[in-house]
Amino acid sequence: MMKSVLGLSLIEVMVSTFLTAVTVLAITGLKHSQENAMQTQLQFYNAWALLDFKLTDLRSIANSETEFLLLADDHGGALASGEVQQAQFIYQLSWRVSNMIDIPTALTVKKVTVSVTWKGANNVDISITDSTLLSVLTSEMNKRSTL
Amino acid sequence: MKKQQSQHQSQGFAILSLTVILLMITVSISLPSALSSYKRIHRTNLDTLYQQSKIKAAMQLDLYFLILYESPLLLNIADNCPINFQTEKMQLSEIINDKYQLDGFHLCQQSASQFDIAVRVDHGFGIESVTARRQLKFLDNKLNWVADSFVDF
Repeated sequence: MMKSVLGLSLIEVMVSTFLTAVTVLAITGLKHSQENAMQTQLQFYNAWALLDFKLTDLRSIANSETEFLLLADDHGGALASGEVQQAQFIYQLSWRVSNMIDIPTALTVKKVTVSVTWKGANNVDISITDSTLLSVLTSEMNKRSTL
Repeated sequence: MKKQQSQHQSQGFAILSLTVILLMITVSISLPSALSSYKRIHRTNLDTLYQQSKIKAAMQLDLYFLILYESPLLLNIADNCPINFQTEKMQLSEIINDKYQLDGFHLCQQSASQFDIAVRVDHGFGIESVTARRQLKFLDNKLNWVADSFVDF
């Protein structure tokens, strides 16, 4: 009779341990997945902020004809290409420039494609890209004095 | 003997009850923290969407800037800018919208040599919108980019 009473306590202790283990594991798993999701979201947010900053930087170049004509792949603007730290993350910044009009005209239009790449979870490369058209009048004869 | 058995049973019951109470306390502490984490993730997601909308709006303004170079006479027919910046109060350029099949191009004159162009872009699943305004200034007979600003609605 004493044996069965002791066994009863052991089963209850095992059930308690099992319940505690399951709950702690569930809470830890939830926290871990939420932390991963938060990190990924922050990486994307800061990557888009960096891309926006570079596009604005390149946009201001369009005010200077000489700087605009020198605008080329990974060259131009205040922020250099390569490794850039944004918040606590490290990104690779690069941009491609292509002339939209091949023949010489009064208006020079360049397509600028900015890319931001970083290492995501499991060391996988993640990249975002966006492009815009920048233009500048390059002929003195065609500068308008409409006002 | 019977007394000892009931004592052991009540001990077992006490262990289980205590475990369940402790677990309930742990879960009730963890749930608000999990909820606030979820809200932070959702907020960051909305911030990212807002950032993307800002980039999209600025790109549309680049396109409009190009159109203004192509059709400078549009600047001559621009109305004066309203005191409080709102796209609804700005002149919607029907000529540009019809000719280039674009929507939401707004143009107004801030001063003798300064113009504003604006565009409105929806984001956050169409609930919110961002209005991007670009200031352009004539310097040396050339239209220059001054600054972009964004207003949320």
